[in-house]
Amino acid sequence: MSQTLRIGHRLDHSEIYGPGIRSVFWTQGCTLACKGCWNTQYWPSKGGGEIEVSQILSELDNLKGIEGITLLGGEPLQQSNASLELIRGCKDRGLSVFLYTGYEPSEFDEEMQACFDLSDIAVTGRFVQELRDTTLRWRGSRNQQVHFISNTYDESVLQEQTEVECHILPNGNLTIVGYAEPDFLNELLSEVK
Amino acid sequence: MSGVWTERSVPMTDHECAVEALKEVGATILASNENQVRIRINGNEWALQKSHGRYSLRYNQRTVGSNLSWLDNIGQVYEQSVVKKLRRLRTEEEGAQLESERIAVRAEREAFEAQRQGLIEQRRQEILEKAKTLGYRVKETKQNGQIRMVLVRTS
Repeated sequence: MSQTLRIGHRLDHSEIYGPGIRSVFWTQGCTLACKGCWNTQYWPSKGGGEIEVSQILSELDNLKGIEGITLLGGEPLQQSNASLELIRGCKDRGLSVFLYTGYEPSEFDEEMQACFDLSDIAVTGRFVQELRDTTLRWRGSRNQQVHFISNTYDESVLQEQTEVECHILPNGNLTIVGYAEPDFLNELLSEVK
Repeated sequence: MSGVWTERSVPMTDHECAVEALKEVGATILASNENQVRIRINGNEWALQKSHGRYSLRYNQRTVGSNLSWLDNIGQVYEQSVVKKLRRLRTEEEGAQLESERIAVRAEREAFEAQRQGLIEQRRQEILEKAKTLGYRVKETKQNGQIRMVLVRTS
């Protein structure tokens, strides 16, 4: 029986959440509540939609040109059971795994640790608004740590830079992800919050 | 911390379809022209302004709360309205008795179909210009009908 993962958002192809082109999943639900979090829409554990991990893996099998997946959120390790099944499934398929978690390694339980150990790269630690730095690659604040866990990648892939990604869908709808400045968003999105 | 910003609805480019969709989701049209559509819905009044080829709604989410739930449905309704209009134009084109009528309807249909492509190109240009102003390099990829633009800045 496959685990169910609650997801708030996903992108089939993205280039700013780890090395190469990756399929990215924003898990839904986070109780860490970092002050200044940009993704508060993924805090409620009842939002988003549920999907079986076996379904995700089957969809990944049909996606062309991806190097791996990236799990972020929300908090992927608050669904560590399902995250672990997804990570294992990806590794079995030869896909690399990039894991974001707001937890520090010292806070991991056994299952969280297994998720971390099986990932190729992980970013750990709370987002700290006072240490926010958009010039960092793959992290939002200076306290967050990048771990190269497997031998697949090393620090040479971590060149500090600011990254924003815009997706224009065939119907004209626009999604922006990454580390965008407010005025960049205000001018480009139809609905400005 | 990285963010995700997604528009709640499909951008509306066509005035006729936008008005039809707004009515369909329960809005009363207070005033309407190509540049602006003023509506009342769920006891609140809103103005959708046409800028950059699409009708935009500007609001502060903190002050409107859940009063914007109608926005979640309007994209789908607008899409249906677009399909309906396209079907009507095709039928009119095929059924036109005079060649001049047929040419006129075809021109209307082609202009209608070109609107969305025009919007996509316009959005692409807006992003390119904004990126240039802010000092980003842009890498662009087209995949499955989507445009992905990666903006990178080293400082």
